[in-house]
Formats: sequence, C-alpha cells, structure tokens
Amino acid sequence: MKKKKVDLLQGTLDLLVLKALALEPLHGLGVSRRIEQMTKGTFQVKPGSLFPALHRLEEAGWLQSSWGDSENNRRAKFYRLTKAGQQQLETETEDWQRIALAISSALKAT
Amino acid sequence: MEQEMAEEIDAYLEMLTDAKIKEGLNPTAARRAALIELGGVEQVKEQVREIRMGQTFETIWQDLRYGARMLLKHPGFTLIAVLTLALGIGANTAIFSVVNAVLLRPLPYPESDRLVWLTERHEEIPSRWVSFANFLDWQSRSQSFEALATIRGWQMTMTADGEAQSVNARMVTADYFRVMRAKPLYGRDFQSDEDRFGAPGVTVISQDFWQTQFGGDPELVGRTIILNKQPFKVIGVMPKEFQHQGPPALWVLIDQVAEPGSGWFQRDNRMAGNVIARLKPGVTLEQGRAEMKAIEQQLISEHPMTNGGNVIRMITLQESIVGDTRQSLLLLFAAVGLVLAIACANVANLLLARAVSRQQEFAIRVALGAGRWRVLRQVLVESVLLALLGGALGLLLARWGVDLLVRFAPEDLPRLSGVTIGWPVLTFTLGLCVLTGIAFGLTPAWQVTKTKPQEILKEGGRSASDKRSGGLRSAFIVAEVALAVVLLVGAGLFIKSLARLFASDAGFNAQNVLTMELLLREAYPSRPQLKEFNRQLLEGLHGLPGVEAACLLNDDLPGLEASWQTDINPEINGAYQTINPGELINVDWGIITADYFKTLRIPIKQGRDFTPQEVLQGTAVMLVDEQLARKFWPKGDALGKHIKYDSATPIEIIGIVGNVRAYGNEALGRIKIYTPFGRSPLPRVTLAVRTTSVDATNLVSAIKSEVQAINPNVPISEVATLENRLARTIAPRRFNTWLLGLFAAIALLLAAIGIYGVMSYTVTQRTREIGIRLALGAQPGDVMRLMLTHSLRLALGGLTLGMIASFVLTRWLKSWLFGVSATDPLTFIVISLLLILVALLACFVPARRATKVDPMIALRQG
Repeated sequence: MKKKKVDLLQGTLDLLVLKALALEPLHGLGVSRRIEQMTKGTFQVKPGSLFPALHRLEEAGWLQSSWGDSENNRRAKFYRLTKAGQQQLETETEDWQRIALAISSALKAT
Repeated sequence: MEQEMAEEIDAYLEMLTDAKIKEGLNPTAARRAALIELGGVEQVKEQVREIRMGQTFETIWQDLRYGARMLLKHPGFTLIAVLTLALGIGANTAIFSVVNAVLLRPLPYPESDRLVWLTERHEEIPSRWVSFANFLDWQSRSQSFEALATIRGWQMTMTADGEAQSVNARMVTADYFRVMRAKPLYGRDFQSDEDRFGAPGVTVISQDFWQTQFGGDPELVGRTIILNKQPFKVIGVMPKEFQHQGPPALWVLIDQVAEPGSGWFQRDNRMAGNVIARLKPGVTLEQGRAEMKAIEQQLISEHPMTNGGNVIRMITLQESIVGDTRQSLLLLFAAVGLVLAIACANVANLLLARAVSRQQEFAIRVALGAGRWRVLRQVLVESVLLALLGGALGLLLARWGVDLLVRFAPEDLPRLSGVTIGWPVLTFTLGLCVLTGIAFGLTPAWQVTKTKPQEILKEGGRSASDKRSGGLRSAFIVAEVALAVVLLVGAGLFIKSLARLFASDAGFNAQNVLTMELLLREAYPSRPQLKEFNRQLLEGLHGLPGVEAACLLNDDLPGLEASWQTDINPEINGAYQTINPGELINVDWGIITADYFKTLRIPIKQGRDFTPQEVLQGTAVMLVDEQLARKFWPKGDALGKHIKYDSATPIEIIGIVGNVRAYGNEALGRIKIYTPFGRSPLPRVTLAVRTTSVDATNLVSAIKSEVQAINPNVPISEVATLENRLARTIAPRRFNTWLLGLFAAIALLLAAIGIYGVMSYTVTQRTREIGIRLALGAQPGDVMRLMLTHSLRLALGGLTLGMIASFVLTRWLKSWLFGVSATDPLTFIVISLLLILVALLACFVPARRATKVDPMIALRQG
C-alpha cells in the first residue's frame, strides 16, 4: 500500500482534526491550537492545510458547521463532530494503532 | 459558498490578531504577524477551491460508476431502453447527415456565399434561360459583380480515330472559372481575348475525362482534339475536386461555337443558358438584386418586344442547388424527431417504473444526508449515461442507415456524394444524447425530489407517489400514441398520393416505349440532309420486327419537364391580335413526325394526324391540344383555324389531341402545339419507339444497328424506357413516401411497446386488487375486460389527440399530395382502426396474465 508523503500527512491531519473535536466543538483557530497542544508542539497546522481539511471532512459528512460567537465575542464558524464522524474517528484510530504497531515491530526486527 | 469562506478566513485572522495582541504585540505588528502566519488569504482560498473541485469530479465519477453498476444490474431494462434510444437517435443521426451534407454544408468553392445564380422569370415559368444579348447588357451595366459568366449544357461529338462519340460539355463565357475561383490542375483556363468567334478553338477538360478518355496522358495539354468537326486545343485540365454541374467532360466557349449573326445572339433567343456571378466584396444580395431590378426595367423599356414581362431572378448558388429539396428534407427531419420523442417517452416510462421501485434507495440516501441535489444529479447522470449508450449503438445503426439512404436516394438529390458521418454529425449526436438523457431523466428525477424520506421508509416502499407517477405514465402513453398517429396519418396520405399517381391518367401511355437521343449535328449539317436522315431512319425502323410504331421528336417527351416553348398568335374571328409586348401567349412546343401520337397513344380527338409528306415537306399545318382549342375557340370550331408562331406564316390547325400532363403533377400542363418536323429539323432528336414485347432491351441493339446502317458516325446516347425516365421524376416522391412510411411504422411499434410496458406494469401493480376481485367471484373474462378497457382508454385518448393534431398539421403537406385532400377521411378512418387494433394486441398478453393471477398469492402480497 503505497501512500505519497502528502497523502500520509493528509490522512494524519484528518485524524488529528477529528480527535481535536472529540470533546467539544471548536472554531478553526481553536482546532489548530488544540492540535498543537495535543501533539506537544510537533504539528503546527497552517490555515492553508487546515481549511481544506475542515471542508473536506464536512463534505464527507463527518463534521457539521455552524456560526457562533467566539470567546472574544467575535463571529466565528464552529465545527462539531457528527455521529458518523465519531465512528470514523474510532475506525481511523484503530487503523492507525495497527499500522504503528506493525511498523515498530518491523523496525525492531533485525 | 465563496462568501462564507471569506468570512471564515476573516474571522480566523481577527482571532489570530487578538491572540497576538494578548501576547504583547501592538495592533499593527500583530496584524502583520497574523497575516504572515495565515500564509496569504488568497492562497488559502485557492487551496480550498482546489479541494472542492477535486471533490466534484470525484463525485461525478462516482455517479457514473454507480450508474453503470445500476444499469448492469438490470440488464433487461437496460437492453430495452438502449435499443429504443438507439432506434430514435440513430434515425435522427442518419437524417441529419443528409441534411448537413445537402443543406448546411457550404459549397466547395472559395467564398461560395458570394456566388449567385441569375435566371429570368416570365409569367408562370419560374425560371428560364437567358439570351446572350441580355447577358451582355447585364455584364456591361452592372457594378455589383466581380465577374459574370453564362453556362449551359451542350452535347458535342468528339471524333477520334474515325469513331464518333457523344460528350457532355458545358458552354461558358471566358470568366466562368474566374467566377468559380477554380484553378486548373494543369495548364490554364480561358482568357478573355480567346472568347470570340474565329479565335483558335480552345477547351478545358475535366480530370475524370482526362483519365478515362486519354489515360491521363501528361502530353495532352497543348494537343488538339476534334469536336463537332472543328479543332480545339486542350489548354488545361480541371481537378476532380471541381464538381460544379457534373462536372462535364469538357468546357468550351460560347463565342467560339456559335456564329455571330446566327440565331444564337438574337435577343429573343434564349440560348446562352443560366448566368452565374460573384458579388463584389461588401455587396449584399439585396443590393445586387436592387441593381438588377433597375437594369431589368431599363431593358424592358429599351426592348419591349423581347424583354417585356421578364423578371430577373437572383438567388445564391447554394439556394439554386438545394432550394427545391429543403422542404422535403425538413419534413423528414421533423418526422424523425417525432420518432425520437416517442422513444424518449417510452424510456421515461421505463425509468418512472424503475424509480418507484428505487424509492427506498433514494429515501435512505436523502435521510443519510446526501442532499436532494446530489441524488437528483445521480439520477440525471444515469439517464445521460443510458442515452450515451443508446447513442453509441445508434451511431452504428446510422452508419448502416446512411449507406441505405445514399443508395436509394433519388439521383437528383444534390450533393449526395458528401453524405458522411463526420464531425458535425457526431457533435449533433452527442448533443442529442445529452438532451434526450436530460429530457427523459427529468421525470424520474422529479419523482425523487418529491419523496419525503420518512413516508417512504415507514411504509416500506409503495406509497401515494405510485398513483402520481401512474398519472404521469398514462400521460406519456397518450402523448406517444398521439405522436404516432400524426406520423401514421402523414405517411398514409403520402402512400395514398403515390397510389393515385400510379393510377392516374396523364394523357398518354408510357408502357413499352423505348427512347434514345441522336446527335445529328455533325453528320448532317444542313436541313435537307437532316430531313433525309429522318426519313430513312423511320422507314428502316418500320420494317423492324417488334416495332409497333416509331417517331422522332424534339426532346420534350410527354410527362417530363418541357423545355421547348414558343409564342403564338391565334386567328380569332378571322383576325390576328396586335401583339402587346409582354402579352405574348407562351405555349409548350412539340416538334414531331407522323406516328408520334400513335407511338405515345395520345388520342386524336378531332381532325387527323400529319401525313409523312407533310412532315417531310414541313407543310404549314399543326395540331393543338384540347386546352388550346377550348381556350381560343370555345365553340369547338378550332379545326381549320390558323395560328402564327415563329413567322408571319399562318399555320392551319388540322387536328386536336388530348391534353398531356406532367407526370406527378396535379396541375394541368401548359397548352401545347405540335408542328411537323420538316419545318424545323433538329440537329439533336429524341427517338421514341413503341415495342410490341415487354422486354424492350433486345430491341435496342437492333435499333442502333439500323441507325448505324444509315450513318455510323451518329452518336447515340441516353437510351432508356420512357417508364424509367418518368420514374426518375417521381423518385423524390417515392423516397419521401418510403421514409415516412418507415418512420410511421417504427413509431407504431414503439407506441405498441410502450402500451405493452405500461399495461404489464399496471397488472403487476394492481395484482392485489385483481386478486381481490377474483376472490370475490369475478370471472377471468371480467378481469380481461377491465384491463382491455384501461388500455383502450389510453389508446383512444391518444388517438383523439393525434387526430386533432393531424387535422391541424396536415395542411402543411398540401404541396406534396396528389389527388388526396389533406383531411382525407378514408385515411383517417383506416389509421384509427389500425391503431385500436394494435393497442388491443399490445395489451393482450398482459391482460391474459392478469386473468391468471392466483388470488391467494395476490392477497398475501403487501
């Protein structure tokens, strides 16, 4: 199963976004902050990658968006995980763990 | 969408700026830092757009694959739909190829839209040849044209190695090739200083003639050939792409062939032919017409006797070539369009039936958030896919169809050789597929959008929408039947016209008459010699076994288009009228030998035929037809009166013959007079022989030997039976009738299939109801009757609608009909009965199936 570097990152990004929204709905900036926080600073998602990802996930039906007020009383678009999205998060998490396990055992082998 | 994204990005920017300010940056620095971090607003937007674009394509691709899978899952349905569509689209493509090649394609000459065709109209003759004198005046007085030329046909005799051969030539003026902008393949074309009598004869030959006659001899240009016993130097060869009027074997200049001072150049002798011209750049057709109108008026006032009543007619060259066929072709195109509409209705019905069974599938998808538009689009994609499949198969059918069309089309259908399935046709077919796909896809798609997912899922499939779509389905059937009826009525009227034509009496008998043309110009240049030849020939022919009667005439065989006319001045009450210019009485003119009327079985109503002496000596006698006799001497005493026609000599009327009509023309022919051969011996004659046996062909060689026995140097051409020549004149009519009949038959078949389909479906739908009825004691016969009445109601509805439409529409067919009125009751009645019969047959099988319903199973069904 060959995946280009970009694809891998895209798939990973999707997973991270879904995870970021697992607890509560967030707006765009909030998602980016949360991902940075969750990955302990390893991934800093630029808007150029974030917005396409958000729209893609929304098209796929895993996120739902609505306009609301942010903490500074500014209008912002909030994203929320749908039931299908929750399902997808669980599936992708499982997949990811399986892959990670496989790769690390491959690397450990001599 | 764009708006929202812009707002979202703005909001993001604001929040980021706020955060930076909180971190301690001043507002401007914060904003700048935020922008940098954002990475450029436009780029972000662009990236999102790209993703969305990719998604759209992906979804359309998904739709296509899904659609294809659906079609494969129901092969029966797909097969019927594709076949139906293939028939409709294929027929349209075939007819469109012809329409494209004949009507739409521009002519193959450079800037062909600048080329115009000029003729003269006079009274009821719509177009006739122009006289050379008039042409010269047109040429010198007009400013609108780059160049003008005349063109006419001219049979010449080419002698080579002692053998005489008849060649088909065109007589033109020097500017002809300049007008057409045609360049010779080898050599050169005519120069204006050659265009005079006495200049060394020159000719240009066509590439075909060069290859077949001279074997493509490269040394031919510069050599001299003998035409009509005169030397003509071959100065050039025209490429075979140049196809104007034939092309003929060769072109010669009119001035070199016709003697000045001879009848050729008299203003009232219309010998020059037709005029072809090229408009100057920037001059419109209307401007050209206006100028010619002024010139026409000038000429009428200058030469009232010869030009009175002339109207100069100018049309584009394309119009002159294809104008006559346009109406027929458009009629066929409309007819085949109706067939396609019926096919679409059938497929729409099929899809509607399927849509009902797929309602659950659609409802689930909508409930899962697919969005109505998405599902609608998927249905449309499926329909267009179906249409494209049908179109692909239809193209194959069309190829076949085009081959057949070209083979059986009337010979004189212009530009037929260019009928191919090329890019314009393919584009047309593609467009047609997409349109038809959307057209019949709309109904099930509309169906989808009307569904409320909850309703469907609750009731598990069937619902009120079934009834609604049932109404739509019935409407389609009624519409289908109506269209089929219109086509059937049209075809019926055409068929009846054709039958009437064959049965009609045109005033003569064409059976067993052999005709051929003899070119006597070279062999017998003088009048006495011509007369002698004629006498010898007729004598010899009389002796031949198998010959019942023979005669010679000018080439105006009865029933064909007349080209010989003259003006007459009858003696009324003992005096001749003073001729007012423009009021000459123009009549058709037959120049004949004795036995003409016997050969063609035209009855002599009063008086007698010519005697051979009168024919030979050219005595001042003539015969006229009944029309003429009745017109000028209504009391019936025409015999013995006199008519002047080409000179001051009064000619006595010795006989009155029956009227002869142009074949296939309802209108009475023009008045005709018959004068003896000896008065105007012709250098080119038609020989007509009535044979005793049916198979005239073995007599041909006997007749040819007879001619050659008198003079072996007389070329014979155009050997054909009169029946064949007449058949050629109605070939277009036969062609149209055949095609319309075919389309009507296809339409009827499709409508029958449609009725069958709908009835089948109805039976399946109402199985429960039928089961209940049977359980409650209904007889199979009652069920049968129930079904039959349902179908009859549909058929009658369509029939009524179709009949009304036919009543209104057939008035446009009047110009094609012969001996049949546009509202011929017999045709309407026959079609009605035919339709009812077919409708009953179509629903017979489903109705029988209804009677076989097992009530127990039916009741258990949900």
